[in-house]
Amino acid sequence: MDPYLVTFLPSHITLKAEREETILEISRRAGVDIEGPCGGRGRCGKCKVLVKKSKGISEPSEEERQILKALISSGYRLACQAVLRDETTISIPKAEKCSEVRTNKGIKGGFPKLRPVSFVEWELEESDIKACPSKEEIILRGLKRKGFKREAKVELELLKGLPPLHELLEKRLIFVLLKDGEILKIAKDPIQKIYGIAFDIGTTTIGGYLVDLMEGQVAGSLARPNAQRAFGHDVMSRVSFSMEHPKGLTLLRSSLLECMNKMVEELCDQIDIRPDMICEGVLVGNTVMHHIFLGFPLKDLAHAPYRPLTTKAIRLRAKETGLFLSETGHVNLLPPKAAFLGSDIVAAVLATGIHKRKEPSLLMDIGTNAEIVLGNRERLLCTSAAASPAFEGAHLKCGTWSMPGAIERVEVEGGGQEIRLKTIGGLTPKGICGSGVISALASFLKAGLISKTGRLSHKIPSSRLREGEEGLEILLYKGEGGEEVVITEKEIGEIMLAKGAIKAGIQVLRRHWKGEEISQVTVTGSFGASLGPSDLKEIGLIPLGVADTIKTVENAAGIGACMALLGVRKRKEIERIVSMMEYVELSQDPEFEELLVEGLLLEGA
Amino acid sequence: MESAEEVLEGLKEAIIRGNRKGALELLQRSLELKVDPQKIVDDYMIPALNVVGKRFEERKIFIPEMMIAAKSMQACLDVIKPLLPKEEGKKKGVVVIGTVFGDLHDIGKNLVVMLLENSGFEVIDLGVNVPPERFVEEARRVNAQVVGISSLLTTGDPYVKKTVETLRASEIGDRIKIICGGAALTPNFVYSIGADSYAPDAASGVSKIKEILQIDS
Ligand code: B12
Ligand code: FES
Repeated sequence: MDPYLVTFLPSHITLKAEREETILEISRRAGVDIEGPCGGRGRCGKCKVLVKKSKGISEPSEEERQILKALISSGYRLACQAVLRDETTISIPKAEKCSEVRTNKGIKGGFPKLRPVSFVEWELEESDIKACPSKEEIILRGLKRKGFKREAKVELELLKGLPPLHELLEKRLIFVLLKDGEILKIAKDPIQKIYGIAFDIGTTTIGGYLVDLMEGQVAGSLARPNAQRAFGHDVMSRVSFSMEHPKGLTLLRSSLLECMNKMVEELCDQIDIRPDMICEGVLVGNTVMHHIFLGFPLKDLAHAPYRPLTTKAIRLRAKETGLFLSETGHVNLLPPKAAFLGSDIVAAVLATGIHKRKEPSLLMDIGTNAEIVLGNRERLLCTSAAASPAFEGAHLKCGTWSMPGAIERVEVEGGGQEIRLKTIGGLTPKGICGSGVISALASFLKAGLISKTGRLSHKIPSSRLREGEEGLEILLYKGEGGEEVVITEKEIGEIMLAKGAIKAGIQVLRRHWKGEEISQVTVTGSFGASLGPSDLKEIGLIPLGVADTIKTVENAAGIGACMALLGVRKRKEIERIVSMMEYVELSQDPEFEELLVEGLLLEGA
Repeated sequence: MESAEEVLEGLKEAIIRGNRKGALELLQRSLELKVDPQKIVDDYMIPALNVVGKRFEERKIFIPEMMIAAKSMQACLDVIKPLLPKEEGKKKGVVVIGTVFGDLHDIGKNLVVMLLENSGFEVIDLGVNVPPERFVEEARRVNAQVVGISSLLTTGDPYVKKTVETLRASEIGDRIKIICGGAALTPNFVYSIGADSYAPDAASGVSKIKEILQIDS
């Protein structure tokens, strides 16, 4: 076929296409940002674009008709469905800019100040040369002589950069070593600063922490959206993408690395240092992200029996992974527990220390998936319960990421006469994010405006309650320009289903636990931590009888990663945690379904 | 004292509302009043479930209420099934159903099974994680008219496709009807791989199956 031009508005980016392709595929090549939450399956409707003019485009598919309904006649199409074959101009509705995603404020709550590195001043002596047959051994002997007690290890790569021995006589070198004896850096001049970096790679957001290894402190932190979002919002659609497209895995990997390298630079800019001053890295994340970073195929994470390639810790030269740190720097991937229990939840255990407490604690990372750990210093039970993308605002009619303008709190007064909304950044409402929906449910419940089975009450003023396309819905906001934010009964049902699955997961763990009652509950994850603890109680996500106070920690996984970066012993502790954790499989549990139906109800039980 | 009719209507209502305890009590009472168990099932319980299915299809109720109602139905069925005469009656058709290979979700599929059984189909449930060949074997063995495939994971698509292809390539390929459902699938995909039908929920699944087998009501 003849090549044709495709133009994207408002950016006016034009690209030549040579075969029949969907708008979404072309947009990815053009570097134009169109959201593809469901991975281009025509399910979510979030890739809606306006086709201004086209000389060759496919007829609307059944999915497009169902989702877009009347909008089709005004020229709207789903970018993942509409296939182009001739000149076309497309306008993209104002996109949620990546940088608008709420960034977390860095590490809160302290952790012990640790100095992970030792410095040794080294001098070459004739006696060392006489005693040893190789440069490597000469260096190590010198270190011992200077009082470094542990068995030191040196990467040959570091030695390659050293001047020849005859030039080294009577010269001083500074060695920087990790406490376990690994040599990080060899320098001619006294070292001013040396840094480490920790990453928490989530499906939605990536957290990065720059750590001063001499001070034992976090020097800067940052959160950025995971650029892989263009390939699907949830992990499974990315796994599918990696298998359906010949270069899928490579694309996912390079988009992740690009994102991480950008973050390295941004973090360095924050405190005015250079990436080559970063010698050590620690990475945690869900297992799919872990595999993508390492370039492991994702097939074993795609279907039963769901097994990660390895559950061991991995230490690699950063350079080999494509992460630009110091030439000789390393990255450590902390070990995952299972296919759907990543090193992030393991790091969160380390950070919260529940594996050292006598009394049992419950730790949950809530997002589109919920990782749950229940246990104490003797035993740790864990599981992963599927939740719903609705939790992160996706797939909801008026759903949005937690970005400025997203409704995050809803308060009801006067029996529903007045609804007060709080948005992120205090802007006019643009949509509602997951925590907003949960907050709405909790306050409707408190006001008696919703039944425990999720039905909206007719006590809600008729100006707000109405019949929509998907059934009954409640109008939360109507702007001057007519823009509206609603929550539908159907969506409430979906949230309840997800909540039911998580609660059932907790209940299954409690049944396996059998011991003393849980005395402490910690909720983490950027979604989990944005939820009001009282809301969680109100909607009954936390079973009755379990500890009264619920603590939220925004980024337990990130804190855990920093701890592992700062303390070499912590890395060993992480390995111990992994072996302590006992995985409880929910899909094989005969009681799960019953517990899920019980757990659906909006009540504390 | 209330009439049997009132008790039975109450039972129907209790199932619809998902009041399991109430439903079980009323069921017990109907049995004490010596109502024919078959009549209880055919004239009250099944119609109750149909009302639930229909309301769900019409978006009058949503997942929670449907699941809760289905649970009360199941509880009542567990009590009354042993009391029913061993059924010899003619079935509307035989359906082999299962969750696709690699996937262990079964709650939705179980609902479809329940609804189908109560609409007069004989259902052979192969459970979860079913390899394509097993669908073929079982469908052949029981001489099924329909195969139902459930898939909840995006990553299941290739296996749904493979299952449909394997069925089509088998000796029953040209007469077997295939219907797919479950949250991961879209109608477009399902039709494009050569299945006969798609249904977004259990109730419409039953109507679709009737439709492809050309059974009215
Ligand atoms: C409950 C649940 C689980 C339970 C399953 C328990 C069980 N025995 O089934 C547990 C916790 C074990 C689980 C595990 C996993 N889950 Co899960 N799970 C869910 C959840 C929350 C609800 C599914 C459900 O039961 N719905 C209720 C029923 C009634 O609805 P339904 O299944 O859609 O069925 C209806 C229709 O679809 C239709 N239908 C269904 N089948 C058929 C068949 C035919 C023939 C017809 C006609 C109709 C039909 O009729 C039904 C009734 O109306 C969904 C989220 C969601 N909102 O769907 C995630 C979800 C499906 N899980 C998901 C994932 C990723 C997983 C895991 C792989 C990872 C994990 N989280 O640990 C594991 C592994 C599962 C496995 N081994 O296969 C993802 C899939 C994402 C994707 N894009 O693929 C989802 C969407 C959640 C998410 N994170 O976004 N899960
Ligand atoms: S509908 Fe196109 S990406 Fe979801």
